[in-house]
Amino acid sequence: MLLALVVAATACGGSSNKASETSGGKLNRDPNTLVVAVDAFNADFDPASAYLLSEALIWRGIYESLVRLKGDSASEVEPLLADSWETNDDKSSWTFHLHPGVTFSDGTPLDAAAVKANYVRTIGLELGTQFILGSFLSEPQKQIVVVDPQTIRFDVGRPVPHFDVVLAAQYGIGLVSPKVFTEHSKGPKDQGHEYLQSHAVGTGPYVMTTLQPGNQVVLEQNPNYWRGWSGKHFKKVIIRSIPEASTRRQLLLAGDVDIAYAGSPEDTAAIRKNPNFFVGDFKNLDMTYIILGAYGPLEKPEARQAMSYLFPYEDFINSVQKGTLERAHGIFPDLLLTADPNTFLYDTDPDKASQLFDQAGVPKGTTFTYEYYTGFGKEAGLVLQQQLQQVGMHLKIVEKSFSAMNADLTTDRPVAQRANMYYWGWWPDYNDPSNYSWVIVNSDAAPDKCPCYNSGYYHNERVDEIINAGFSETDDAKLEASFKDAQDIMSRQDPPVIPVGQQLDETYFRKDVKGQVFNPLYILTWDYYALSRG
Amino acid sequence: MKRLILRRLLFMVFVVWGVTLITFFLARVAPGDPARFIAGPHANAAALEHVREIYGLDKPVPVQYWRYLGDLVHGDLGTSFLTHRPVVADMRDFLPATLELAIYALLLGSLLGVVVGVVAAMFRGSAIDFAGRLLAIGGLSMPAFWLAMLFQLIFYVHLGWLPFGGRLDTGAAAPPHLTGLYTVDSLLTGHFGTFLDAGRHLVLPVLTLALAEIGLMARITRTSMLEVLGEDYVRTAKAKGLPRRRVLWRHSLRNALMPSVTVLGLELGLLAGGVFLVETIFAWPGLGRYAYDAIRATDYNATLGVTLAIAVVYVVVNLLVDLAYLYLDPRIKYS
Repeated sequence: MLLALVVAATACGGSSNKASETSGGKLNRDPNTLVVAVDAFNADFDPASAYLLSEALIWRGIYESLVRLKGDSASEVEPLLADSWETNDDKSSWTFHLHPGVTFSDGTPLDAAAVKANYVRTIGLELGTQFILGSFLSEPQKQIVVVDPQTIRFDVGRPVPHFDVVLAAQYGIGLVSPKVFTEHSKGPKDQGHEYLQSHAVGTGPYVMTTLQPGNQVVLEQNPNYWRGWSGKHFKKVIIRSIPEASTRRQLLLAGDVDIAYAGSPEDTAAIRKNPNFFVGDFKNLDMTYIILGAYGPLEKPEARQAMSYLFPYEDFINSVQKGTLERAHGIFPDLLLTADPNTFLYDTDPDKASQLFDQAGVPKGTTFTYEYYTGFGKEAGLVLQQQLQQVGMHLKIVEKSFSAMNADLTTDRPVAQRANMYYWGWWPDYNDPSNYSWVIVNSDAAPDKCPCYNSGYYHNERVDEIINAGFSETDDAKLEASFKDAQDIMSRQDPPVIPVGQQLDETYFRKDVKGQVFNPLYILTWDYYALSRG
Repeated sequence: MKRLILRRLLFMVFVVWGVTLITFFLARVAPGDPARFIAGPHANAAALEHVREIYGLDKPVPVQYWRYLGDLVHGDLGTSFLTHRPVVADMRDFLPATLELAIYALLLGSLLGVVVGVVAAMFRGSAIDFAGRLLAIGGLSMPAFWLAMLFQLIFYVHLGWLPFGGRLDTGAAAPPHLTGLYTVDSLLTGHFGTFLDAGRHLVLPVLTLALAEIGLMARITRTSMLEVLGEDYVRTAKAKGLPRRRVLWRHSLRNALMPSVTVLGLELGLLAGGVFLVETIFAWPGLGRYAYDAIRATDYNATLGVTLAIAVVYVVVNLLVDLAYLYLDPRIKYS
C-alpha cells in the first residue's frame, strides 16, 4: 500500500532528478547549503586525539589555530588567530600576538591563557596528537608562557627554524573552549576528552548543530564569528557519509551533492568529461609507496634495488591509475622542504633486477608476500606479481582490512610472520623532512621500538643521523645538503620503499562552488568559510 | 501458551549468552588493533597504553569478558570506539532505520510472494504459472547489490522518478521521534510531506530487499498449495459444492501457509545479510551500515552489540512464528 501510494504520488507530481553523465547543472535544493559526500567520517572532535582525515574534514569548519598555511603553499604561513609573531635570534623562542576580541562559540574569550590551557592539555593527555607539539615542548606548563592576555610565548629551548609551520599543522593544534574541557572533565586523564569526542566548541566560522554518526553532520554559521559574514558564504554545511563510490557519483550528477570524494579512476575520468564539474587534480604531500621489508629475502640493499627496478612505474600510473597519481620524483614528495629534484629514479628494467637478485643471493623461485588493505593497493600487487614472474619469482598477494593491516604495520612480529612488502602512503604533519621521514624510516620508528610505521625495519645509521639532526637544524642550506645525501642513500643505495607516486586530490566539485583553494598539507579537507556558490 | 513463551524467553537468555561468548572471543582473536585505530598514526607506546586503559583493553580477555557480561546485565553494551558513544545510544538511532526497511520488505515480500504462489498454483501449467515461476526464480537469482545498482540506474539516474540515498531528502528535517520509523512518526505527528519523502526514499531499498523474499515465498507457497489442493479433504469440499473461494482461502491456503510461515522466520536471517549490502549502497543509516563500519574499524563493542541485536530479533521472530503455528493449525501442541 505504501509503495502504491508513493509511486502514485511520484508519478503525479514527483520531480525528476535525472542524472545523466552530462547533467549536474540543476540544483533542486537550498543553494545556501553546501552538501559534501565523503566515504566515511569519524566523530571525534577532541584535537588531543582526533588524528584521522575523516575527523579533520568536519572540524576544519569548527576549530582554528594561531596561524595557518597560506593558500596553496606548503611552507608559507599566514595569520589566523594570531595577528603577528616573532622569534629570537636562534629561533628557540617564538612569541605570538593574538587577534583581539575573538571568542569561542560558547562566548568564552580567546586569550593567551586559553591557548596555553589547550596545548598543555593536548600534550599532557598523550592521546596521539601530542607528538606534533610535544616533540618540541616536553614541559609545556613551563615552556608555554602567558606574557599578557594577548601575547603567548613558546620557549622551545633549542633552535626550531620553522616553529610557525608546526603551529599550522592539520592536527593537534586546533583550539577548543577551555570552559568546555574544564567543566566536562572526569579527572586528569580525561580533561573533557570523553565529552569532546561528540561535542565541538571552537572559534571557527561554523558550529555543529546535528551529529548523526555514520550518517551526517550539519554545521551552521556561527553568528558571532570574529571574521564576520560579509561577502558570500554558505549558511549551512551538510557532510554526508556515503561509503559507496558509485552512489556518491550519482548523487553528485543528480545535483544532490556539491562536493564528493573521488571514486575509482573510471569514475574520475567520467566526471572529468562532464562540463558541470571539475576534478581537483591537485598534487599534495601524500606519497604512495611500497614498503620493502629489510629482512628475509629483501634484507640486502641489492634485493631492494632489484624490486625497485621491477616496478612498471609509467604503465601503472597511466594504464591502471589513469593519471590519478603522479609518478614520484624521488623518495620524498616533491613539495616537501629539501626534496631533491635530481634524486636518482629507477627505470623499469627486469634484466637489471634479475642481476641484482643474483648478487643479493635471492634464488629463482622465491615467493615474496605483498600485503594491502581492501580498496588500496591490489592493482599494484597484481602488476608486481606479473613483473616477478618475468624474473622467475612469485608473489603472494594478501588482502587485509584496514584495521588488520594497520596492526600488522605497527606490531613487532618474528620475520616469518611479516609480509615482505606493504602498500602504504604517508604525508607529514607539517612541511619538514624530519617530521615526514622519522616515523617511516628511522630505526627508532621500527615496530620493535615503537608502534610506528617503519614497518620494513629499515636501518641506516647515516639516514638516522640526518633525520635526527634535521629537527633542530636552523641553517636551511645545511638542512638541504644533508637531506640530499639522505635521499641519495634511500633512492640509489639502500632503498626502504618503492616510491610509486604522489597522490593527486581528485575530489569532485560542482562548477558553481567557488573559492576552493587546495593546500598540499590540508589534504582532502575544505575551508568551508572560503566556499560559496557563484 | 504462557509456558511456551516463558520457556522460549529462558532459551533466549542462553542464546544471547552463547552469542556474546563466541562473538567476544572471535572479535579479539581476529587481526586488528582498535587502540592503534583510535590513537592514530603517530601515537607512541604511552599514548597507546593510555587508550587501552580508557577502553579497558589493557585487561586480560577473560576479565574483559566478565566485565562485559556484568555491564550487559545492566543494559550497558559498552562504548563504540568509532562513534565514541554508548552502543545502546547508537542502536537506538540506527536500529529503527533498519527495522523500517526490514518490516516493509518482509511485509511486501511475504504478501506478494504468497499471492504469486497461490495464483501460480491455481493456474498450474498455464502462462500465469510460468510467469509466476519466472518471477520467483528471477527474484531469488538476482543478488541484492546488483539489483540495487540496477534500480539506481533505472529509477534515479535515467527516469529520475525516485530519490536515492538516505532516509529523507538532503537537509529535510526528521519527524519528531516517537518510534524512529519515519513513515510512522510522520503520520502520527501529521507531517505528511515528510511521510511522502520518507516513503519515496524507502521504495528502492525495500524493493531490492523484497524481490528475493517474493521469489522464495512464491515458490514455497506454490508447492505447498499444489500439495494441499490434491488432498482428499479439498476434493471432498469441492464435491460438497462449497464455493471455490471458500475452498481456496479457508480450506487450502490456511494449511498451505505452514511451510511459508516457517520460512518467514528463517527469512529474517537472509534479510539481515541483505540489509548490510543494501544499506551500504543506498547510504541508509541503519544497523547494517553501523555494523559494516564497526567491523572495518575493529570496533568490538559495536560489532558485539549488532550481533546481539540480530540474535534477539531472530529469536523473538521465531517465537512469533511458533505462535503463528498454533493459530494456523490448532492441532499443534508444544510439549
